[in-house]
Amino acid sequence: MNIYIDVTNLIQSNFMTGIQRAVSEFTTRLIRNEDINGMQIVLIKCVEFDQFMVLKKDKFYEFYAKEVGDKKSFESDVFIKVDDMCGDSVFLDIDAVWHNVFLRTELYPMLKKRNIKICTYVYDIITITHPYYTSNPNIVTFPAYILATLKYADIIFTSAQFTVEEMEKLAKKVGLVNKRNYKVVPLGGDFKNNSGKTGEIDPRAIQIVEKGKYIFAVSTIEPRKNYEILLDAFDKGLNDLGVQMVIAGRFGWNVEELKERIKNHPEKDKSFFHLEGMNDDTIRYLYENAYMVFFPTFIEGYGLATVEAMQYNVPVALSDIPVMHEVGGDYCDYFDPYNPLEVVEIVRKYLNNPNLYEERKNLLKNYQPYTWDQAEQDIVKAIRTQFSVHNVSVKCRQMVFLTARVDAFFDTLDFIENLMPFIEEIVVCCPEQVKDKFINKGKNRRILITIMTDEEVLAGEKLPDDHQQRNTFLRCKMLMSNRIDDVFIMSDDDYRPMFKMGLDVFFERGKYNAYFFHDLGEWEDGVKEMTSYDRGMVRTNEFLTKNGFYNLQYSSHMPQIIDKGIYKEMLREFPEILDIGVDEWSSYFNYAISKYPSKFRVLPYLTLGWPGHVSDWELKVDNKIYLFENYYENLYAPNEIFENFSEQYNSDIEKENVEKIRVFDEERQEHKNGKIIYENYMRKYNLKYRYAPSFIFEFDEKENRAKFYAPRYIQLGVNSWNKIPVILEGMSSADIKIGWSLSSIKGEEKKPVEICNVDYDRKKVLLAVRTPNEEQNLFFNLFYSINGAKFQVGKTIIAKIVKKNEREKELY
Amino acid sequence: MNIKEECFEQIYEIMKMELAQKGEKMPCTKNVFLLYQTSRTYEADYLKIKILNNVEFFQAVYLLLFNRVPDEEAQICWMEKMETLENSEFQKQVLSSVRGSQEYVIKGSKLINYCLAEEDTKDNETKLSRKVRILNRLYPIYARLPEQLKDFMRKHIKKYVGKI
Repeated sequence: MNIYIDVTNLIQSNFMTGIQRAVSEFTTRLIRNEDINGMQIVLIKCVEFDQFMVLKKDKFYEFYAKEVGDKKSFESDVFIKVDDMCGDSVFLDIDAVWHNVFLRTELYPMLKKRNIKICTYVYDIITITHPYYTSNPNIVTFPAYILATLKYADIIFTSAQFTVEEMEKLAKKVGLVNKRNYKVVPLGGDFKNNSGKTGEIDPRAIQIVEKGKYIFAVSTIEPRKNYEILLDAFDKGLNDLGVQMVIAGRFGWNVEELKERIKNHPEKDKSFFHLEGMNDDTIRYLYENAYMVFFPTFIEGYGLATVEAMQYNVPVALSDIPVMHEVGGDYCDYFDPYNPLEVVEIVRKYLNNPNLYEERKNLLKNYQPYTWDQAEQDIVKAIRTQFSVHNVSVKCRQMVFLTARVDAFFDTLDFIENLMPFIEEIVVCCPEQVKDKFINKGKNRRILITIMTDEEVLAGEKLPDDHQQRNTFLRCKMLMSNRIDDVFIMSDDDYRPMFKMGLDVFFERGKYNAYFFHDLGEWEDGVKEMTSYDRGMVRTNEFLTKNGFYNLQYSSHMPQIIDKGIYKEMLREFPEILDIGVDEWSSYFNYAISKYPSKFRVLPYLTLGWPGHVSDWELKVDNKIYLFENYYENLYAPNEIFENFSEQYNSDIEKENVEKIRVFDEERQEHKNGKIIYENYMRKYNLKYRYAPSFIFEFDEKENRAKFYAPRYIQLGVNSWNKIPVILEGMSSADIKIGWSLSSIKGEEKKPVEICNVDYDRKKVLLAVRTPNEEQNLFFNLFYSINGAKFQVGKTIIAKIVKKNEREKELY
Repeated sequence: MNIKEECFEQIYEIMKMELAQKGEKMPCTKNVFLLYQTSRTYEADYLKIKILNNVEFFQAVYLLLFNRVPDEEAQICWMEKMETLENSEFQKQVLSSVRGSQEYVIKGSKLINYCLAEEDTKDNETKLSRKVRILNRLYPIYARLPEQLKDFMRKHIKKYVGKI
């Protein structure tokens, strides 16, 4: 199991207090205990939206656990996106991630779609409940983080039950009704000597100790910590009792008045002391020799300093608030944080009764702080318990097809028989008129072919007209038959295995593998013109989102394993699936993973030839492994990508497939290069002109006026397909078409090469711009036509067609 | 499965109420707060912010592009203009200032769909093509020159050709 930990904010911080300390303690232990825990740690740093740098965890460990090396040494040149993360993994958020570029409201849904478990450690929600104690940026950035946690986290770790209660109160107020799983894991109280060597004790501290008894308080001086009450207590009684007051900590934000009061206090440096910049040894010395330690805070998430103080065998007094009781228990005294006289009374009580004082000190000898090792193990145990893999196996020996194409099926069958030896039976649902052909050709094969006809399956029901709806309807009806096994592989007649494989491709370590290739929420944006298939995807997206399911796209054009029981359950719960015509793959997998997340592993697809052509639609997943081919006959035609390869199975097919993959990847690489060039251009353009390049088409219906807005130039890669979005502004019911062309700067006639219909409901149009093979400068022309009128040139800009090395930038 | 806007509205109201008890205010309006929650960090869509009033526009630009509230200095500097300048002029000036700042570069901020507001680079097609033709003819010579002469040539060609 992989555990991804985003430590962006820890490594960007220059100080080591509070959250930074906790992240360092947790992470170093998780790395150290990887083998024992059976959990592989992947440390990542957020670079930008959906882009993480993988950090060198050994260097990280050396720096934070042993204070060796520097932060630069953590960096690597390995970058990953969410889609690259392992299917069976956990995303553990323990850092101050609300500062991150990648908002959790965007990251967490992406992780959920991938069935990657989300575990978040929430230190407190003071920013929400007491925003006046927080700096302004946090007030704006924190809400997204906490709402995402409440909505999506599989386990929410907190340091105190108090925080759990506060979070549940908040969830109720904002209407987040989903059930949450909390685990209280207190922070460790065992602190190492951070300096690594015995430092000198500050002489001022020695003088204070020699002078006599003192009350001690340590933290950053900020409004929440309520130091005013200590000064009030000092002025109203503690000074008269002959007790000194020592406050150690730097001035924080919004404490100008208190700062003045401290600086100008009449007893300053006599019996009242404010110390800044003390080293750890001085602080330790002051703790050990204090008469009492006070924490008058108004609100805390935990109060790590409390735990620290209790270990020095010095009586501690805390604000009488719920979280302090949780941390201090019976070991501490409590006072009203608004009443300085209660502070005085506590001190007076002990001064007047030395026996009582000794009793309190003796009680503290029994105090055993929770350790960081215990905290780490609690987290590991919680993850293991929640997400353990069950040691189950399944029997899967059957494939199921829906097809009318006899030849195509039997061509594919040759591949299956030889490369998928665990398949013993294939059930084919076909029209009555081709049944005999299937039966005759299916004789004497290794695999038993069982035929069901459409008519048998439909049992008198009528098939829908739409292609997508028809397929879904038939498949769903087929599944009701007893002839279909409880677990089977669903496939189509053009999905061919490329290499020999076992069942572990589909079912591995107790889980079904679910292969996705896109996101239904983004699908519509990436297609130029809607086909029946695309309309089916739109319907599927609507169905899934309406019913609260995730919406990855699973029609990956490769065989996939199906649990019949779950499929039937889905059809019982949503019988309308048969009528509305959703994609049978995406509906099943998104439903199944939502209901039974522990049974599935979500992985990027393994299909070569989907898309058949890089220009067909915008790639989302950069799949690196191919085990299946989505066979397109036209790709084997002369002058096409696979023209020299065999279309039929032969004994050397696996060797051929290795070469086929190389050829396919080469073509994809040029397209990828084009993408890199386009992305670099966007970055550089933004840097130079201080706005990102974009294309906008504006139509004013009243004035019947259209206009294009475009950047000063565009840069595209040679021999690539580029999907250029054009944002639609204004609204219109007119019949509008826009088009583009690339023309020579020598002044050839301009006419649109490709035309798109404008649909204002979609808010943008994607132009699939194909570039020539050579580096050159051309004109990029944008055209429009309103209500069937002749196309007019709306805009012309320079298009720089470059290779990946981009030499033109020298001249321009 | 996304978080509904109502949740963000609720949380805004909760924090606003808490701050009001101490006589303090939220650092931005609800509109701007909601816009921030649904935008990418360090990215501002001009089409979405251009419809805001001056006060909200000012808050939105800082929050969306710089991920922070405007500092006191900036508030004071722009306060008068916020009240006196008309919407489009105020927006132009604020964006010009923000886009010209080092912070825009350091943070990798992105102002998208801004070409709408850029001056119409009405087609200098003839000029463009002539300039490009000249450059294309000169490039083979340029490519063979030593580095110092390349620098020299670049400086002088830029003067003549200007920005494309």
